[in-house]
Amino acid sequence: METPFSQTALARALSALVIDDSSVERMLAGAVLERLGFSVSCANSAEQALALLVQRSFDLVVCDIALPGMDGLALLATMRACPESPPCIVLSAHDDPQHALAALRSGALAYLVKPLRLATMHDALDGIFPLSVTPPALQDNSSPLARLWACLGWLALRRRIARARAFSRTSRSTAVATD
Amino acid sequence: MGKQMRSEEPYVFSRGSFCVPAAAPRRILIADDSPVNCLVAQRLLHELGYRADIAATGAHAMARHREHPYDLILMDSQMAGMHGFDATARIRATEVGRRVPIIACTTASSDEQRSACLAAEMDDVCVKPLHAAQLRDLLLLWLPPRTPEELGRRDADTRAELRSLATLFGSGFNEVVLMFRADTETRLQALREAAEAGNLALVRKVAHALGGSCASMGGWRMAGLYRILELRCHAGSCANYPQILAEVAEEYAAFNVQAERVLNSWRMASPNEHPAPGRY
Repeated sequence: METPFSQTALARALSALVIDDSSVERMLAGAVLERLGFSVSCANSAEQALALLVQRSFDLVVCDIALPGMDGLALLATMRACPESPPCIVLSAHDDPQHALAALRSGALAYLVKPLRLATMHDALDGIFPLSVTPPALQDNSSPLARLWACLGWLALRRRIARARAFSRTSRSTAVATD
Repeated sequence: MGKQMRSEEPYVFSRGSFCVPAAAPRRILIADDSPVNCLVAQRLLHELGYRADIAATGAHAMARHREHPYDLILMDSQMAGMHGFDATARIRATEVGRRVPIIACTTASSDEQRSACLAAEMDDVCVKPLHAAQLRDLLLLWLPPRTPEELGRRDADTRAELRSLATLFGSGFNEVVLMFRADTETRLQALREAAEAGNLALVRKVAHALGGSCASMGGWRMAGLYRILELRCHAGSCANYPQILAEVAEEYAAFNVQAERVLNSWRMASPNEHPAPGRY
């Protein structure tokens, strides 16, 4: 069943923690996540992130690999050792399979290469939170065209998810039939 | 002093003369023994507005380049017959004056393998599978604009990227640009100090951080220069860092001009500015 637009919009905002030592990168990732309906906190090092993670829980962690002090991979390993660790996305400027593999082995659910795009983050989140995709939170001052565009994009995404679910249902039923 | 250093060095990308009436099309050669890889690369280049020739072996590539020199060569590093490294060495041996940028296309991605490509006198490394954004960054880096039209197009691309960032950030965009500048300048200072002290590991780390934030802001050519510096440092030399830094400074100034233009138009006409929903 499709959730009505207004209900989804009112749903509790998910919280995300962005860890990057560059302020520009933090702001960019923060803006992208806010646009996707998250409330965002930031940390500029793994140590600061761990201190925050002890205080409160997050629904998502987005971190860089190259950090001063403890690096991103070590942070992932530390977090994975804790119970109920949030899902992690690694966001790095290293565009090669080696770093991606290392990140995924350390427990990241997705590896995204900088520069970050709204669409890539959206797709990654779609994989991590398949049922709770929220429509983009629009600012009041955004233009009507931007609102329309965002709504259309969101509806298209809902349709895609519905189609994928319908497809998995039919493929499951055919599998049962052939059995 | 800066002018004299920028003579025939491989890292010197001159802006070109402004009085060239029309750009001669750039000549690009793709050397790869897999026809599929060649076709994909050719198609991607075509989409970016470049025509490319194909050579199936190292020997073939060498012969074609000797006949009619190319502006850029994308060389598979592991070809049947003559190896990409051998072909590069032979091209370099016969080269006088202008050095053609040779870019290694490789499936290998470890730092050692990248360094091996640089040691074989290739200029840059790109990891397969190729994609459009990666090729665009390479071309921006190695085929800098030569005519006002090309320069104008590049600046328009930068502005389009900045405008799409502005739509993402809304009223916070001004702050982001200011923060980018402050951040870049602090790190550049750190980079200079590390390079003067000969601390290659630190240069590499700082260059990596700088490259990331430049790429995020649409300063693609700056990001490419930092990537080259990173590669060079890992290969064990940052001897020509002053040239690269001079290039970076020039590029940074050019980027700031575009950023200022976008900021001004954003401040003046943000309600009427059309958003770029395709990008962000």
